[in-house]
Amino acid sequence: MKSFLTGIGVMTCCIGHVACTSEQAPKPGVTVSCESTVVTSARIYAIIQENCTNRSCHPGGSSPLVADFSTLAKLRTYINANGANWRLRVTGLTADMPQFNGYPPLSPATRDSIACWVDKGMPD
Amino acid sequence: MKHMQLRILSALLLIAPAAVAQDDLGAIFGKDSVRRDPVIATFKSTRIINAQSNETLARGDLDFRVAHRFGDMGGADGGSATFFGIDNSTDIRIAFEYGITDRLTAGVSRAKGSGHFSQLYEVLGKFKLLQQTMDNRVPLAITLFGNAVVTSMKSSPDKEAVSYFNKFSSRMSYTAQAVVARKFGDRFSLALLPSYVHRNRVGYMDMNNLFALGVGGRLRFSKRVALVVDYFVPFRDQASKDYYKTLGIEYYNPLGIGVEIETGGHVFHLNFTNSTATLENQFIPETTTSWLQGQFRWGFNISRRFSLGH
Repeated sequence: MKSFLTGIGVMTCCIGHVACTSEQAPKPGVTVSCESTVVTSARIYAIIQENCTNRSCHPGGSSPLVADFSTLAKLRTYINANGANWRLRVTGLTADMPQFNGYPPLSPATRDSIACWVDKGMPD
Repeated sequence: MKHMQLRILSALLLIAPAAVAQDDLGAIFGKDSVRRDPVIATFKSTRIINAQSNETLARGDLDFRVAHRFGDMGGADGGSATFFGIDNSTDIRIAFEYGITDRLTAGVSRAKGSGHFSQLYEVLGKFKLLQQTMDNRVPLAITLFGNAVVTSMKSSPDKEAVSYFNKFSSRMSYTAQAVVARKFGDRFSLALLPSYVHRNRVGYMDMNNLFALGVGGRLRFSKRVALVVDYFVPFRDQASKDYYKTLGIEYYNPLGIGVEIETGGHVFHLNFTNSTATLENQFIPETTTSWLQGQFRWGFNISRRFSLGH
């Protein structure tokens, strides 16, 4: 029993040494103008996947009342049809998406990037 | 009447030697041996609600656990539109825990995750260091708990995001905790939980190392039903709180209140808590939901034990 506990202790120390690091995300950058910013569909859709589809909220295949973002084309279709709602709930100052439920809100920089991409006509 | 008196006298004559015999047995085996027995069932399960209890599994016991937390009951995301949160699940955890010895438990779990990281895998260990005794020679039970959690979620492409992983270790977080518990009489148990959470990667102005103090209790109403409560106070520094307040994010202390029902082999918890997550690594440092804003949720913990070693 003692040797087993010693083994666990040694293993914990090794894991702690190798896998215990401390890093902080960088300070959110300053806002740059939309005109000079290059925002690609791939980047925006990766954000949508992380925050909207991977959390089982908008994966498609569920109720027709729930927006379907399962593909980039469907995302574009939704934004074209519901632009005001998108601005209100996703990129506006009082945006409530992604819904709280313990998920962190989108950073202001991310919201600005999405808004910029939409304003530019959702380019590839 | 005389007949009745004779019956009572006969009964007394039968009982008296038995009572003397009990005293003799006490003298032979020593009453101390009975009093030094360990206090058992301080808590009925290995978890109070969110918090760990001091209990570990018996050797050879496998505990299959399911924990579920629904969405906000009230507030902007609750109410009748989500049937008071039941349409949403903030976290789901499925765990297998096994008693290697009566004092040492090890386990693995998968949790949905609620907070910065989702898709979580956990390895945990729990060791019963001290056990309270009936004679109060050991007045407290102390159990040590530790876990390591890794997320398998996709890395964010945004370097400013917490979920941007440029190396594997960024995905890891850990908890170390001592559960100091005491059972007062038959009905009431109390636990204090000094805790330490380390997250390898955190957001700007968040804290990699966070200490917290938890308190948990159990008040038994009947043989099978008890009220359980737990509460944590994370010691987040003021600069971090202030910074996140400017972003519209406020941190709250997780509080859980529930009813524990024991049904022979099963322990079933019906609980309400403001924390959205089930793992210490998340509900201690990342609870941003408040009871006072209706952001509490219904949840349950189910525990089913199988004896594999007997």
